[in-house]
Amino acid sequence: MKVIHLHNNNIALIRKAAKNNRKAQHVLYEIHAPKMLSVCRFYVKDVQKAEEVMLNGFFKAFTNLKSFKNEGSFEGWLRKIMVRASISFLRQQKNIEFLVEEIDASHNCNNINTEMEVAEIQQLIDELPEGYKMVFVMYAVEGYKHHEIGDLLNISEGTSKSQLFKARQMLQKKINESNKTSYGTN
Amino acid sequence: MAPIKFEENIKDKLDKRTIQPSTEAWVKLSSRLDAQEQNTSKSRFWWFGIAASIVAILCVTFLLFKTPVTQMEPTIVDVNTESKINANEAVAIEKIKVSEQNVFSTSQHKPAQELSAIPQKVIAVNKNPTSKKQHKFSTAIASNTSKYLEPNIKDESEASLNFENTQKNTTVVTIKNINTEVKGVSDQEVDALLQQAKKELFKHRLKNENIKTVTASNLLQEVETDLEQSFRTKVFETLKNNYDSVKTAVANRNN
Repeated sequence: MKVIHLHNNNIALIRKAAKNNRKAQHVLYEIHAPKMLSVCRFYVKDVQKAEEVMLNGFFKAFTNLKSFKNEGSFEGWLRKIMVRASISFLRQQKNIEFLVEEIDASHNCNNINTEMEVAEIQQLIDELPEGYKMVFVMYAVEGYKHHEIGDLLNISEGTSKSQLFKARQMLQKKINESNKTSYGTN
Repeated sequence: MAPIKFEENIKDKLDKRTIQPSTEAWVKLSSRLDAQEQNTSKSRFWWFGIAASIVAILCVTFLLFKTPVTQMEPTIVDVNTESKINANEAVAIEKIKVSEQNVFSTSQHKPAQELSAIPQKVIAVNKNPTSKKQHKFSTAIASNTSKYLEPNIKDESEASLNFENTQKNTTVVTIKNINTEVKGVSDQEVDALLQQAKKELFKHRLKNENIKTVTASNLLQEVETDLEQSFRTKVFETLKNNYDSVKTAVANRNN
C-alpha cells in the first residue's frame, strides 16, 4: 500500500512539475539530484563540471517533462537524460578519443580485487582514456548494450566491444600495479 | 562479452553512491527555468501576433479579391443608376412641367380675370351719361388698367426668372443627385441633361413670347415646327454655303 501511495505521489509531483510548478520541481530535484550527480560524475572528472552537466540535464528534463508518459520509471528516464547530457558535454570539450592500442590480452580480469572502495574505483575510472571510460561506464554501470552504445557515441558495435575489452585490460593492469604498491608498503 | 564479477561489484557500489550537489545549484536551475518561462510567454505573444497578422492579411486579401467581384457587376449597377437617372429626369421634367403649368396658369388666368374685370368697369363707365364723369372714369380706367397691366408684366418677368432659377436649380440638383448616387456618371449624360435643360428653357421662352395668344397644344406644335425649321434652316444654310462656294469657284474659273 505504501509503495502504491508513493507511486501516486510521484505521479502527482511529476504532473505538477510538468505545469511549471516550481515547488514540485524542487521536490523532484531534491529527491533525484544526488543520484544524478553521481551518474554525471562517472563521466566527468571535475565535480563542479559534473554539477553543471547535472543542472543541464535537469533543465532539459523539466522543460520536456510533458513528454514523459509514466511508462517507465522517472529515475530511469532522468538517468538517460543525464548520460546524454554528459556525452554532449564531453563532445563539446572534444576529449573523446577512441584509442586503438595493442594491449596484452593474457591478463585475466576475474582476478581483480573486488573489495575496493568507491573512491578508488572512481579514481581508476577517471584515469582511463575518455573513450574507454565512456564505453566501460555505459556497459558495466548503466547496463547499455553495445549497439545502444554505438548509437549514442556514433561508433560501430565492434568499436564499442574493443573499447570495453581494452578498458578492462587497462583497469586490471592499474589494479595490479596498485596491489603491488600496497603489498610493497605492507 | 558477459559482465564479470568485478564489474558487477563496481556497479553495485557506484549505484549506491550519491553526491550531494551544492546549495547554489537549485538557485541556478530555478533562475534558468524562470528565464525559460518568460521566453516561452514572449514566444507565445509573438505567435499570437503572427497569427493575428496572418488573419489580418487573409482578411485584406479576401477584401481585395472580393472588390473586383463587385466591380465585375457594373451592368446591374448601371441599370439601377439609369433607372434612377430616368426617375430623376422624370421628376425634374415633372417639376418643370408643373412649374410651367403654374406659370401658364398664373399668366393666363390672372390677366384674363383682370382684363375681364376691366371691361366691366369700362362698360359701367360707358353707361354714365356725363362727359366729365366719362373723362374722370376714363382716367380712372387708364390708371386701373395701368395698375392691372404693370403687375402682370412684372409677374410674367418674375415668373420667367423664377422658372429659369428653378430650372437651373433642378438641373443642378439632378446632377448632384446623380453624382452622389452614382460616381461613375459619364460626361455625355451630364451634357445630355444640360442640353435638355437648355431646350426646356428655350421652350419656355418661346411659350412666354406667345403666352397671350397661344394655347398649350399650339405651343407644342410651334416648338415642333421650330425644331423642324431649325433642322431645315441648317440644311438650307449648308446647301446655301455649298452653292456659294461652288458659285465662286465657277466664277473664279471663268475669270
